[in-house]
Amino acid sequence: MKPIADKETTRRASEKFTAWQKSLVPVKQNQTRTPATIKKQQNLTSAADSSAECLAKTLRTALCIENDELSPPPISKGTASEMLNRPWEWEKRVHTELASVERKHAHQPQWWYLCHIGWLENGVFDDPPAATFNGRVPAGLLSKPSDGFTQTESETLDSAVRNILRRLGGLLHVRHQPRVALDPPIPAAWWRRTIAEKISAVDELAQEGWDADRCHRVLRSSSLWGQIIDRIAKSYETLLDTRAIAAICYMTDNGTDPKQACRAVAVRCAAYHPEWTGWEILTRKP
Amino acid sequence: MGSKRSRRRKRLKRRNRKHRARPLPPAASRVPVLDARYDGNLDWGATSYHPKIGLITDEGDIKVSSNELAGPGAATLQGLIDDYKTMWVLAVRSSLTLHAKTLKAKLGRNQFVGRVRWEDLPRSGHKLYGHPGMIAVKDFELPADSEGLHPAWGDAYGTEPIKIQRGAWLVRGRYQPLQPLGATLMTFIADPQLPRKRIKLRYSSGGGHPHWNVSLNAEDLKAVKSAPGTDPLQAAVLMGAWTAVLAAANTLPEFTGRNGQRDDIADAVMDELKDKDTQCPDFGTDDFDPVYAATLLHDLPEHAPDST
Repeated sequence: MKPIADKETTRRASEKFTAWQKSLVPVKQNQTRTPATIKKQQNLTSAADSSAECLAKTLRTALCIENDELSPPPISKGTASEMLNRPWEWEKRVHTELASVERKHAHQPQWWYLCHIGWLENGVFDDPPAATFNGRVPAGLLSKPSDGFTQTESETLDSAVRNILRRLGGLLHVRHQPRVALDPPIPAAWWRRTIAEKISAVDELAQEGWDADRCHRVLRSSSLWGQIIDRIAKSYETLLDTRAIAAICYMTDNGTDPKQACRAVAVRCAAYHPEWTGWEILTRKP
Repeated sequence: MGSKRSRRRKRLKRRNRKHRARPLPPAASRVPVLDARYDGNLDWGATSYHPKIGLITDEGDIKVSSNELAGPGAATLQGLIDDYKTMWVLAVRSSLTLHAKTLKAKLGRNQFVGRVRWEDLPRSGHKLYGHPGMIAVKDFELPADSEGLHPAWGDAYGTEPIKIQRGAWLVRGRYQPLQPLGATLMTFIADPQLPRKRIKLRYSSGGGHPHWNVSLNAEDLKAVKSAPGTDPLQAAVLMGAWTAVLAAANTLPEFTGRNGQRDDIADAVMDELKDKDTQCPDFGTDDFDPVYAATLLHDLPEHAPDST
């Protein structure tokens, strides 16, 4: 795959990334925000509300890559509704178009930010992009003096900024790295379909006629994908095994609550290696 | 007051009921595990497990050079390997790239080499862990009076053999972070006092893990920490650091083997050197050339670094 930017650009953007996000949003949402932070938040939301070009320019300035060339993998234009609701067909199409993306890049929020900047400049998203990234705020908040915000107004603005940052590639210092597979719509689509294709190769599922499409649909059902990623982020690394995820999907499809299915498989994987364990043991109802 | 006291009494009663000793589960659902992850091993008494996991090379090789068992249950557990009932594995997992792969030994073997795909893993080796252990590869029965097994197994279940199901973990080692050779041997530290393109080296055995602290100017450190590539400055810094480390290693007793056995890192470095050049002299010999050895571990830069 063609690199998205040269090494120096990537290094510079990575260095600035966390500090920039920390300067925009505190870890806890109820933490007091200074007028300077509110001013920065206003700048980002008004850029998103103004135009895609303006948002891309703001992001470039923040990451110190004003004049650097970016060449993200090509992707066809999507609507704000698709980015917000993430329909199954859209996720499948996104994955097909981004088939050349490698895991070593796909786990980095910074890499997805560079992609999104390039896509904003290439007109991939609706213009202005505020709705696409769920970052709309009442117009009055954008022009209000930053020292005159009430608690509620400040929280509204903060939520919008968090939405934009999460959807552009992840909010690293608040949500941590594995959630790059959960929060931003495009990376989440890529990860979900990639894992669906992997688990569809598990013998027991293949014998029952499960294909990648069915696995993908099950992974999207209820809160299953969120449960899996959250547990992996909390050090339940045994759930990374393909057969473990396949077993969770199978149980959920047969009516087990996703949370219970994750817990049951995690407990079994602590005593048995999922690759060698009988399918009936792995998928037994809790 | 009275009602408060009675509520408290009820709460305590409920709690006691919850924590009342429960009967042992049936034998079929329990497996004795030698778990080296925690202190105090109830199932196998004084038996211990010490896996030796080699370091990842740039090609992604992981060598499990031995799976040592010691103590009263060692013969029983080794017997299971020799009878092809169990095998040694190393589960490699990276929560960042949602990657999991299990490297397996051949049946009946205690050593093995496996390869992970670097494309699937975070380049720095950060958050990549190996989980060594022994698993059952088929259903079998383990006599309750096996040598080394805690007598409680016999007391609780009589002479009934313990049913082990395929896939059960019988031995589990500690999670081990897996890092490339350089990352394990050298720790790079920013030193604001150092001018650019200068390196200082200090030996440290902190935390029982012998390694070298390589001090660099913060700007040079950035170049070294970025993914290995063709940057001449980075290559020169790594070359310099390797040469210094190997020159120091050549004189240290724990590396050269003059003071008892060599440590794991020394073995891993020498294995790596011998892989690149079988004629490479051993540590501690007069023929060992640290500059030549450094070029085996890191290629010379293609262009001369900027001297300004």
